[in-house]
Amino acid sequence: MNAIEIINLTKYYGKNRGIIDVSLQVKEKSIFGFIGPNGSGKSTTIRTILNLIHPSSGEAYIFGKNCEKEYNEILKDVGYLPSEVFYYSNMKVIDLLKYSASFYKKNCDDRINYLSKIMNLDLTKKIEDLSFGNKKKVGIVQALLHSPKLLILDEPTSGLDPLIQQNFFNLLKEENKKGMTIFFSSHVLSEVQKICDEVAIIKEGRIIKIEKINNINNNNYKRIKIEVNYKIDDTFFNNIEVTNLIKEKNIYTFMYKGEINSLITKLSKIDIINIWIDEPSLEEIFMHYYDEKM
Amino acid sequence: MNIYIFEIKKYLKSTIIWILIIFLLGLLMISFYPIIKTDLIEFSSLINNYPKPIKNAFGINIDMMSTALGYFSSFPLTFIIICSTLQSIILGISIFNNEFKEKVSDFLLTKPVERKTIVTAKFLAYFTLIIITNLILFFSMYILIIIFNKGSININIYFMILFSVLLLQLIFLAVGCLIPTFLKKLKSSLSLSIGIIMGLYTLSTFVDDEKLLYFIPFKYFNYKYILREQKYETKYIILSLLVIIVSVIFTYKIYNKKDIY
Repeated sequence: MNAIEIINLTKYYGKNRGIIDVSLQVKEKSIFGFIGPNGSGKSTTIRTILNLIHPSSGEAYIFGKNCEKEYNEILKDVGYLPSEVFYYSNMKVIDLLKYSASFYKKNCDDRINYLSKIMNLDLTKKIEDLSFGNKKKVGIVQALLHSPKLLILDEPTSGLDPLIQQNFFNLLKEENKKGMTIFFSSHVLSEVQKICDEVAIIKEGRIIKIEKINNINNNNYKRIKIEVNYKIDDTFFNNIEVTNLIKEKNIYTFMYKGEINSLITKLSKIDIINIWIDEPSLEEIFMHYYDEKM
Repeated sequence: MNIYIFEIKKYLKSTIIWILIIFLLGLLMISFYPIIKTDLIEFSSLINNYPKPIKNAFGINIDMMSTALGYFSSFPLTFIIICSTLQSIILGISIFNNEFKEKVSDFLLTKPVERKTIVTAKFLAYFTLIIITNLILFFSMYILIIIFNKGSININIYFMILFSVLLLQLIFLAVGCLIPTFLKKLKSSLSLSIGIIMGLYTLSTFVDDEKLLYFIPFKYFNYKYILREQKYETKYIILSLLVIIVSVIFTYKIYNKKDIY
């Protein structure tokens, strides 16, 4: 069974586009990344499957239950961290977390203590006195305290310092090992790359590509930089499938997708001083997808 | 149940402050009564020089002044009504507006609880706070009147007057709840609340057109009539209940379907 199944989900705000025909499946116990720039429809998708927003058309299911009709049942097993965390500001952190816990029929005290220790969160402070990053931590603990089967995170890392971010990712991996499905939206691609199994790319409300992280990382793209001491004939690159070709003095940088052997054979015909072959960052791949579609 | 308790706790402090304000205003106003009673003739000649709109605005009605309840239902009651309806409309508007504005809804609506349960819990919480306010008002004002009147009053009429305040409070609570559900983003609920109450109250002092009266809840209760006849005007009671029920139903309907973004 899929943890999340979205079928042709469309949402218009009046005449403005929210999302168009979004379809995707998130397998149970996986970590799914959802990336796209600001305003591309990430939050709209998330808010629709949480029934905060009602879709214009299409359907979504979480653990096989209809998101619009059975949201009450679904939400028992879901933890959600909104992108902008706002809480009743004149409350103490611990009171908010206890209020949050009171909606689930289990004792969450131990979890609250455990999670706040990992996230280095002071429970006795008032929420209005907290910085943006610390409010985010409250949100994270709040989303995790009832050990949900599905965790939905909307841009979780903004505002967190690198150390806490690391703790947070470790925590996610640990929870994932115990069986938690994680759906993770972000525009910081390197963090998606670090942790996700599968990734969907959304742009202007439409899903452009859904791919396994392994496929992206291992098989497809290489970033290649060669240094020469003369000017390479422009026609040379016409025979090779390169993209994003940048020329800086005598250094040529480009992205290559395809058989490495054939590339090496072709490169061997020119005189090269130096060569670097790198894994491209997801960001570069991502920009590449964008270029292709534009 | 947890939402109910949470909401009560959240607004308890402001409710206590409102009760104090209303009590102190009542105390101040009612404490004038013995002086006015003894110098009624001089006072009435003074008042008669005022233009009619001012007399209306402060609920001053010389004919009524001679009895304790008559006096109470003139300007002490005016201030009590303005303050208590202001309290209830602020509560009403903030019921959902704060949720929408501060995006607190993200928190509450992603908990396993149905939207209609949230509305019910909130309604009940604010209803409780209004009832508490009104009960305290009922007893404290009664004691004050007895003390300054140095004698008993007609408890039936007194009850009717205070019950009308409760009805007014409930009307403004219900209408207040409805406002943010159809207004998209409400910047300042406080200024809107004050605007509505003061605007309607000002209108009520000079509007006499029968048709317009239906839109001004302050006009639903004519205290001169209540004092004289010892009963309400039935159509306005029905109208009050209708306004409350319709507002509540619409709040449920709209909130249930509203997109939170």
